[in-house]
Amino acid sequence: MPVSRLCHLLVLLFVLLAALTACDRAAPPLPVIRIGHAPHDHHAALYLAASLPGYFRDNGGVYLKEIVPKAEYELIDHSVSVARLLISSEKGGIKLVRKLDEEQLDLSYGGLPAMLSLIDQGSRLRILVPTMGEGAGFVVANHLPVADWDSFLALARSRPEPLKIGYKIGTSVQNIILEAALRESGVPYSRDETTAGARVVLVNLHGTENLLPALENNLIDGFVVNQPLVAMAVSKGAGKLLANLRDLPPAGRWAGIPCCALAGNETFVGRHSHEVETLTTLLMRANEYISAHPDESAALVAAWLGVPVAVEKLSIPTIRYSNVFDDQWHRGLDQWVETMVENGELNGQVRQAWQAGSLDDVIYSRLTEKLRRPAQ
Amino acid sequence: MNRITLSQKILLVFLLLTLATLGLGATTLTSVARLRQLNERTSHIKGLQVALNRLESLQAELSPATVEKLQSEIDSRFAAVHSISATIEAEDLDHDAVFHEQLSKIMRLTENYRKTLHELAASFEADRLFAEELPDRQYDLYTSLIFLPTRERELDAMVLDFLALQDQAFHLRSPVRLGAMRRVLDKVKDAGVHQDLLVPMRELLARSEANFITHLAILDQRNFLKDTAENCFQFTEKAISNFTAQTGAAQQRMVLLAGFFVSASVVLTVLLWWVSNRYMGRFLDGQHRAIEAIEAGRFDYQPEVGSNDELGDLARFTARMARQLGHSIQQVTGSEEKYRALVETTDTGFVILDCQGTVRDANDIYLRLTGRTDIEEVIGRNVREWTVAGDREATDHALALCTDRGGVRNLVVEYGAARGQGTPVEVNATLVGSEEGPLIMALCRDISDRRRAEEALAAEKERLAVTLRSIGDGVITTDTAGRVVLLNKVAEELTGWRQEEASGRPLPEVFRIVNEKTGASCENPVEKVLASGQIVGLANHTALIARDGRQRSIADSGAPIRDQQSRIIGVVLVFRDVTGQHQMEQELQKGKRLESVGLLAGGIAHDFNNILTAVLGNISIAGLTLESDPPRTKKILQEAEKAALRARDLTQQLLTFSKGGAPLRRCTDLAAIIRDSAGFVLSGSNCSLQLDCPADLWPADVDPGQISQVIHNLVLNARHAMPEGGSVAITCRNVAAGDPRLPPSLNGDHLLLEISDSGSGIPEEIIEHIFDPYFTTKKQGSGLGLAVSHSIVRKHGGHIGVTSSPGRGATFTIFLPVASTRTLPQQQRTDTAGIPTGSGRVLILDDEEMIRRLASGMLQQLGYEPVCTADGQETLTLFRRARQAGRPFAAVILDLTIPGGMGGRETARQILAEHPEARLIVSSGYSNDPILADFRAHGFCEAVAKPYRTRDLAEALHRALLDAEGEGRDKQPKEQIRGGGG
Repeated sequence: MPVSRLCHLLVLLFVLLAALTACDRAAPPLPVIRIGHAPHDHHAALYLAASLPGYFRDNGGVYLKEIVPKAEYELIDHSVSVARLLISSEKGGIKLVRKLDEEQLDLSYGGLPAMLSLIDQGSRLRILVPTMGEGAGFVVANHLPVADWDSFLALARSRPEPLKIGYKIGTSVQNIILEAALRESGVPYSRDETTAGARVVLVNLHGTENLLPALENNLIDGFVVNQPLVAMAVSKGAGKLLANLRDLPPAGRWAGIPCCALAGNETFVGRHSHEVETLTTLLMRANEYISAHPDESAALVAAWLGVPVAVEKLSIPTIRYSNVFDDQWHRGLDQWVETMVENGELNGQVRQAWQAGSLDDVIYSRLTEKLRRPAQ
Repeated sequence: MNRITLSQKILLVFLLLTLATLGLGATTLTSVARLRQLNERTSHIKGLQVALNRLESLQAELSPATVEKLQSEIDSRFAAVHSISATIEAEDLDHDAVFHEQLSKIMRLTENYRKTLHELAASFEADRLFAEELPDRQYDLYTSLIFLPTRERELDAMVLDFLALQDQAFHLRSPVRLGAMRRVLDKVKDAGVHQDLLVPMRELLARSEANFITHLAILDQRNFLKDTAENCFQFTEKAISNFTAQTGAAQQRMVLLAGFFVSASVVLTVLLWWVSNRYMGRFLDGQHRAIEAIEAGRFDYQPEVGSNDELGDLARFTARMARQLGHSIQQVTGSEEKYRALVETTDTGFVILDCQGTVRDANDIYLRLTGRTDIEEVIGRNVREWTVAGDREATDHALALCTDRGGVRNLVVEYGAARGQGTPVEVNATLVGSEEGPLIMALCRDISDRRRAEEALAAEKERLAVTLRSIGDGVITTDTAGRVVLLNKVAEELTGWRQEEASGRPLPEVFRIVNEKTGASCENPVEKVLASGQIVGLANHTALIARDGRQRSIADSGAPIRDQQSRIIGVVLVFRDVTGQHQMEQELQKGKRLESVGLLAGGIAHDFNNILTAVLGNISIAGLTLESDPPRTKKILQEAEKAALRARDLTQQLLTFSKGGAPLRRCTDLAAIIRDSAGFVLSGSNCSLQLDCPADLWPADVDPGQISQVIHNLVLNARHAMPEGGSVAITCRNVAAGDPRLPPSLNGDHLLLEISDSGSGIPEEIIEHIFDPYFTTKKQGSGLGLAVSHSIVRKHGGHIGVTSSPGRGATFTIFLPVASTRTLPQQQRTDTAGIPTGSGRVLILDDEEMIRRLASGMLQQLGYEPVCTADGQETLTLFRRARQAGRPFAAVILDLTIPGGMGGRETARQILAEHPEARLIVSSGYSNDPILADFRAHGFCEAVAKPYRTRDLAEALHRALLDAEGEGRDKQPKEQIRGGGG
């Protein structure tokens, strides 16, 4: 046999093997997106997206098809399955972000300060889109003779014993705002009750679940927490709303302050950009739905969280749901960074980037770069 | 361009292959090292995992009771973890970012773990301290209560309730109990209790609340540690998984790399093969094309020199070689063309055969020799195919000779043409070596001409020999010494010496010549020729004396034989026996003499004949007229007629002798004539007839009447020569042309008639005169018999001679011509029963008044209406008028000789010119006139010689008119005479 014919035969054999190999491959399984959330209405967009498949199918074509309620869904884009969605719930935002950092989750809602803190420490998580702002309050014991921030300050200054204000976790939006407000108000505070001169002692109750018991049993005089615990505490009569944190001093600083965002592991996002983008689009639409339909959203969120609708009806109006990288977002982000830098909570790449004026390059995902451009 | 040699290229190929092998080996080694590194790292990670497990177990053991004891253990285990981490970090030689990130996370988590664990330990320590101080504080509170100055039972209960709540809060870690404690404290305070009691209660409550917060912190820390440990495990698991994956990936990569290198090696090998193949292929293709070009005769092809190396040199060398080859081939071709032209233009056939005789190549001449026209009919075929059957064995033998001995010379074979006549060929062949094996190259020459020449030469020799033998003259050649060299047959016969006997003898011994008059020896003619150098003749009357003593008259001449340089190398003598010639000359003289005598006799006889015609005719008319008269008168008339008839016979003999009387030749049975005539003569005599005639005796072309007369005369003479009786022998023979018995004056086939008697013979002194007229030895002889016989035979173109010896009888020899046909005509029937009569007008032309009246009377007698004229012109006028008048003449009898007027011949010509159907009869007293012998050639229907009888005229008219009525004038006349009435 001529050698040239043998070569042709070998090439043909390779092509056939390649074709057979390609044919032998089964259809690739749907990519799995593990998304985390905390069981509160800051992350209500996920609940609405999961609860309104028909609506979102008819409006935009991207929706979630339920497989296991609150746990597993199929992301469908115009009748085409895009990904399988696994929903994980954690008690605190820091844990979500931590899991996201530890790649136990692919996407997660979470508090912006926690995200900045981990990014600062070198995490691969990156912010995809804003979710909401505000949505936190200062609840005090009913018996405490205060009605607003000023009276609180007056009481703190006047009472012999420092006021004990609880918070749910070491670093949270709420205690940052509170501490900033206390500093702004000139009231000494400390996380150590033995600190002399401190008029406000900030007590870490190591969990949201400890806040109400501590308040009810007078272990603390009040607490700062996110919704809907504020609404729940109020509606339950365990305390009274001293102020929404957006109203704390300095005045106007915390109005519209970003709270939670949707972040993702950048490695995963880069690897599954289409699926993440599709899901992000859906969640953004769901976020917009909340703003457009607060009552319906309250009912759906209440049903998802297992809380009274009234609580959500009190809670949701206090939350500013927004997906837009607007000025408020950027301003609020700067405030967070500034505050955390001041608090000594950022010492890594975020701080360096912030100081270098290149914060966006460090904290945002490339996937949503086009969403940020109009605002830039 | 730098020259890269083939060796360097091969080295480059092997270097590339070596590099591929080295790459494969390096990849394998690197992959093995990488795998080993990954395995070590996995081992370390597992060690880290173990350390973390131990740390976690330590954390699980951690409690307020154990915290003090486990502090150092915690530090040591963390040191171990850090040590392993540092080891792993140090091994991160390849700067694996993912691994580094994971390791950093682990380190960060372990650091958090360590911090939290220390915080937990601190919390536990605080809790332990609180637990240790709690009894004292409870005791203090209790003592304070006891030692209150004023104690109320309710206060005691509240304090005790406070202590109980505190104990519950401590053990149950319940904020509700703490709240209850605060409410109890508030009641106590509201009760206005002494500060000594309130202070310890507040302190205890504060410590309890702090302890609760510590508890919450412990819970949180434990949860954190748990999560952290879990995360650490997950990270380590992930790292292990990652390492495993990396290991697998490394293995896969190694396999892939190995595969790649193997594939690359294969590809490289294939590529190198392909390049080499293409390289060599191009070279070989170039060489192939070069060879094709060379094969096609394009020696100036442009070489494809693809490389500047040895192969390029080889290609250039091939091209150079091709050019040189082309030059050589051009020279060879030129030479071949010359030789080819030589081969093609030569008249020699050229053929190349293999040893089996199969033709490989041949030129056109050879093709023509084989008789084929297409070279394809020869190429590839065996020479045996066109070699005639008789020469095939010789051809096979010649092929074997060529194979065994290297050639064959002058082989003569005949090639049979595929179509047509074969060709004799002389073959000279040589065995030559060639690439295809031994071949036979043969030159084949058409020797047809040579063979013809040889045959012609042989024939010429034969003819010369035959000629020499056939020459009627004797030929003797001698050398210059006068010795006999050659004798021809005639010379042998004349001299009596045979060639082999005479050769080398002196001429006079063989060729004895004398003067026949004197008997003296004649001079040796050879000496005369040699002396004169010219042709010399012998003197007259020279006689040759044969070996047996016979003497012959000869005529001789001698001539020198000269070579190409005109030198005399011998003498040729030509001589002939002129004895017969002398006899013929004598006979000729005799003939002339007889002719002159005959001329005189003929003239007399002609005139006398006319007279006799009238006499005989009148007697005949008188006899017919007097048929009823008395017999006496008729008898007288008959006697007169007999006398007239004898006179006519006499004149006829004279006429015959004188002019011979042209014989009326017919195809005649000579034997029958002999039997009739000889039998008639010898009947009633004492002589017998011995007739010897072969059955196949040819017919004779003779006038039967005249020949009968000859036989009659000769047999009569023979009878007279034997008065005592005897036998007359008559022999007849066929003598073909060339037969030596034929006299020299005769040619063609003849009949020999010999009539011999046994009488006394003819004396020699008179034998010369026996044919003279009026010469006779008999008393009653006329002396005309032999003269007439001689004349008749001569007029027949024959020959008559006589030989006789005294006392031994005489023999007359007669040669007569034979008829053109060898078969005799049907025997003629004659009917003499009556004279035929007829009717119609007959015109007669004759100058003699006596003849006109006689003929008119005869015609009237026969029933015809005669009209006579004496002039030819008048005859024509009458003939035309008669036809114009519607009464044409049935026949016209024309006399040939009309003195002073138009004779019968001219008259006949003019009549026939106008009326070809006219029936004309010629009549003449000159019976020897050629017109009478051949009257039809001159337009006549019949002929009648004067003097004629009524019967003669009647029969002539009858035949003429019968022809007109029957078969027409152009046909031969009926030989049968029809009888008529009267």
